[in-house]
Amino acid sequence: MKRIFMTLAALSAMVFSASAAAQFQKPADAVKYRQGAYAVISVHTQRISAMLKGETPFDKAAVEANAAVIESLAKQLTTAFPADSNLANSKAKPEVWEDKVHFKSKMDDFVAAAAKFSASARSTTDVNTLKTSFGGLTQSCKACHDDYRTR
Amino acid sequence: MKRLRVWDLPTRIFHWVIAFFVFGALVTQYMGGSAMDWHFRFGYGALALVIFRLIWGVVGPRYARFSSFVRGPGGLLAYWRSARRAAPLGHNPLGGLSVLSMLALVAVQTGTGLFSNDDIDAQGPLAKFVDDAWSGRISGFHAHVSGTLIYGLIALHVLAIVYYRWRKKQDLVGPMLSGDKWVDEALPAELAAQDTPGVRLLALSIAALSAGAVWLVVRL
Repeated sequence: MKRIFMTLAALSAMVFSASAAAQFQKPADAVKYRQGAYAVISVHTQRISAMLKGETPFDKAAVEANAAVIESLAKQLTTAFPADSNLANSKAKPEVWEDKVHFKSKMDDFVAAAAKFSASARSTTDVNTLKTSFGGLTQSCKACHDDYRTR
Repeated sequence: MKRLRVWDLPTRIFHWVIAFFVFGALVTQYMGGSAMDWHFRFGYGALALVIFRLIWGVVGPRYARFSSFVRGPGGLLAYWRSARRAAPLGHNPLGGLSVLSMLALVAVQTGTGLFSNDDIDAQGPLAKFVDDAWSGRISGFHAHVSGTLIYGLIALHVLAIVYYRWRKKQDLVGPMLSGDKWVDEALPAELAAQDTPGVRLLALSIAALSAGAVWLVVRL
């Protein structure tokens, strides 16, 4: 009985540690997840942009909600580049995995900029303040695209 | 020695303003974020100026005309072989080739820019008319192919000016500011480029038309 229990414990430990190392069942899932998340971020970015440019009516609650999605997905994306997910259909450059420290700092900048914009979306309705903060967010996108994304 | 008008005022203004626009577009794309709004404006301005220059190259004063400086391969070769002889007052054939290359490159750069997007927030006004994958390819070309060539032509342009200044003892920048070159007294005054108020007014209306054309395209 004790042996069975130990075996089960060891097996579950293996399963859990495996899932902690690989957040995705297979590498292709990581690519799909990233592309999906970035596509969603893109839509919410454009919705905010349209409001800040005055192309669509400004709505504080909507800016906040859009910003919250970006903030949340940005955090998720920091763990969406596992070691084996440098696949052919991915537009991520190999440098993502070769230059891990720098890439991580860029992703951290992105997470920080998304959090900062989200905070300003909650605290102000001043379009110019929001534009500055939003500019910081889109700059953090670009900083990473320039180094780590092919077109 | 006497002064002779070679570059009419519209050609000079064109030159310095497009230089400023290209510089502005380079800086703002580097900055990204909200500076992209200005990247677009500089691009629209540069496109309008290229259209203006193409028309001015046909109807403008003599040294601004393509017919005065555009030469085929044979003409270029002949100039290259006789390079030590007196250069023409306006662009020499090699300089003419450089003018054409820069105009073509800025035309390509602004033209592709209209269809590009940065996958973040900035999207060229015509990007919505093409397939997303194509807009992506065009963006890659805009940023990495023609965008890189621009740096090359700027470097070549500046190096040529330095070469003329130090090796050939010719100042190319001064005449592009004042419009005049120092020439032999014996040269007839009829060789001067026309730079009358009428010529300038014509240029202004062509520039307005070019800007209007770009404005219409951008609003599509």
